[in-house]
Amino acid sequence: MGSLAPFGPHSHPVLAPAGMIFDVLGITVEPSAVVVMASGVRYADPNGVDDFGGFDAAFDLFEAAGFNCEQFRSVDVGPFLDAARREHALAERRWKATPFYSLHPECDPATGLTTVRPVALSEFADSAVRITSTFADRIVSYDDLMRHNPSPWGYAAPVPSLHAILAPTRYDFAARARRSLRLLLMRLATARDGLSRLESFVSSRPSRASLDTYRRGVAALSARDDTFHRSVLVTAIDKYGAGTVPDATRAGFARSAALHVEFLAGADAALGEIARVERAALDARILSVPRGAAP
Amino acid sequence: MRLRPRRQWPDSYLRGSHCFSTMIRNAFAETGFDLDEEEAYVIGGGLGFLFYRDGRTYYVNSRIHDLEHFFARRTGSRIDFVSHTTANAMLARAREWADAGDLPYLYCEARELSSFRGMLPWDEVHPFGEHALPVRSVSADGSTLVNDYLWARPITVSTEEIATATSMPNDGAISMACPARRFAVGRIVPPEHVPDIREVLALSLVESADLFLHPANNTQGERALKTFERELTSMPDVVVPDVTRVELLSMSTMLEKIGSGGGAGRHLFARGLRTAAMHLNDVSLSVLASEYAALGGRWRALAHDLRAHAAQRDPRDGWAGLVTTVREVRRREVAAATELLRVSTVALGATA
Repeated sequence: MGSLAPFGPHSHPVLAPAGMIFDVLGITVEPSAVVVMASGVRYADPNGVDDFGGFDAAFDLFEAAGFNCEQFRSVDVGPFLDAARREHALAERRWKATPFYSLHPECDPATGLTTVRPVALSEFADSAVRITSTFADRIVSYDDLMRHNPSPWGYAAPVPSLHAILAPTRYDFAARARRSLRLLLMRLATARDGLSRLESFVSSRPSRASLDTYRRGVAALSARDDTFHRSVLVTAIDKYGAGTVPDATRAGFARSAALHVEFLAGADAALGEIARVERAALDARILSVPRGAAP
Repeated sequence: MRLRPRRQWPDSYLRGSHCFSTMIRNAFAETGFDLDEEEAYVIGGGLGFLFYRDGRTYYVNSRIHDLEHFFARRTGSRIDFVSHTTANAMLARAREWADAGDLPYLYCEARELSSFRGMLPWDEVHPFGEHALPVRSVSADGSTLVNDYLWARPITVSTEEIATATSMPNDGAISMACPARRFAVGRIVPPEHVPDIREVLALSLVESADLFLHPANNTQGERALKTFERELTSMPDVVVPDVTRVELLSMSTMLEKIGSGGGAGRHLFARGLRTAAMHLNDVSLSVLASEYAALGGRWRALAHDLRAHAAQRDPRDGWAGLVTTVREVRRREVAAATELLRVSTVALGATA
């Protein structure tokens, strides 16, 4: 797991499953590229806890990586396990099986908080499966797995490219990360679970109690990154945004990173400022980017 | 600009050439992010090619898988779908989503729908699974009012027929296929704001061309074309003439009649490229559109040749000509995709 290490409790949650998958293949990927490819910069859901983009994030990640992605989602655990084991066996026969991406309630040993997190499913056996998250790496019996009741049960199975299997050390993600960064910024600006989610919450004039609940949601999602992954986004812009992401966008998210630290420390007023700063940062991308730059 | 999400499929369903791209067009009609079917096809990565041989089965499809998911990825949308253990549970979910105005659709096998049985020669092709069936409403007795891409008017489908079609009865018939989405219902979660169509189209074209030229494996894109040519070359030595006839017919029908407007979907893609050229004000894309239209003609001619060979007393007569045609089409496809990658990369730069 060296390429993305450390992906312990402090790292972005998507790095655990992604790290296992790419490590199995011997591929080294720069962490901010993984976060960008997995659409991993998020907004908390005021009505619940965000699931890091769900299985769509895995589709984004694997397709951005040049792999295929086989998705399965079921209301019931039985079809989920049947499909996962069948798919894994098929992947073994076909090319090369890698861990699957899924979601599972994981407990933060430091805080005791349990949140749904991206996990890797691997080593499917007759009665148990290995589950790996940023918090834990263990074998879980199917009986224990079934104690939870996620909605839905599902997985996203990466089907690695032949190039990735045959020449992992020459697998270059830079161009892919550049395109994914643009898709991520577009998603933040336009998607229902993008900035509009935060703007709606702010414009609803939330009570102190609602703000505290929202703060807890951000804290749970942030995986102890007090910038709520905005610093990762700034890193990605520095690495992959040259010529396509304007300075004002970078500066806006850098400012937002600092504002998130303030908000998580208890400054309620910072939340409205985050919404305003991030909208300006995303609008700047549309309004003032130099034209004719390299993609 | 805020997108105005639809709450029901259009009363007069906009017909099209392909189920998923037609459904997407209808889902976004009069929302402020209105698209032609061909634009939805381009954004969803309609340019593609799939081929694999599985024993005596020669399977060909002209487009990439998961068109709806690629569309969502490139537009700030999401696809929400879930499988169920029973048809009744699936229909209950579809009813809930329809009542909530979420435009549900079912994943099913089109060949199991009576509306389609007389329309397409299903007995000529291998079962391949997914068809998108938009749901307008589900009645108390389970009969379902649906739309489909060949008809403007809604169609009522009985519970039994829906149950059979959505059970994916041919799951696993092609061993390379992944587990089917059994009793699955989906919905498109549109973006909150209308995305910049120029950036969406440019990104989609770059990704599609790149995926075609650098596919995940030998069953897709440029590599699949090579495999197709190689397997066709050896086909007379590998399978007996009776099997050859069946497989030639299957390939011909898949290229020309199944769900992409014929010509291996290149005519639809060419129209999408023309629209993209207009949005991006890029004459190079118009030139490429003409090339893809010409390629559609070449694929159509190949489909005709495959069918003609199947009808011969000995399908192997004149086989070398068939292989030569495939080689020529492959070379033109690779040249066109290479140029598409170059042109769209420049266009993407201009949208930054």
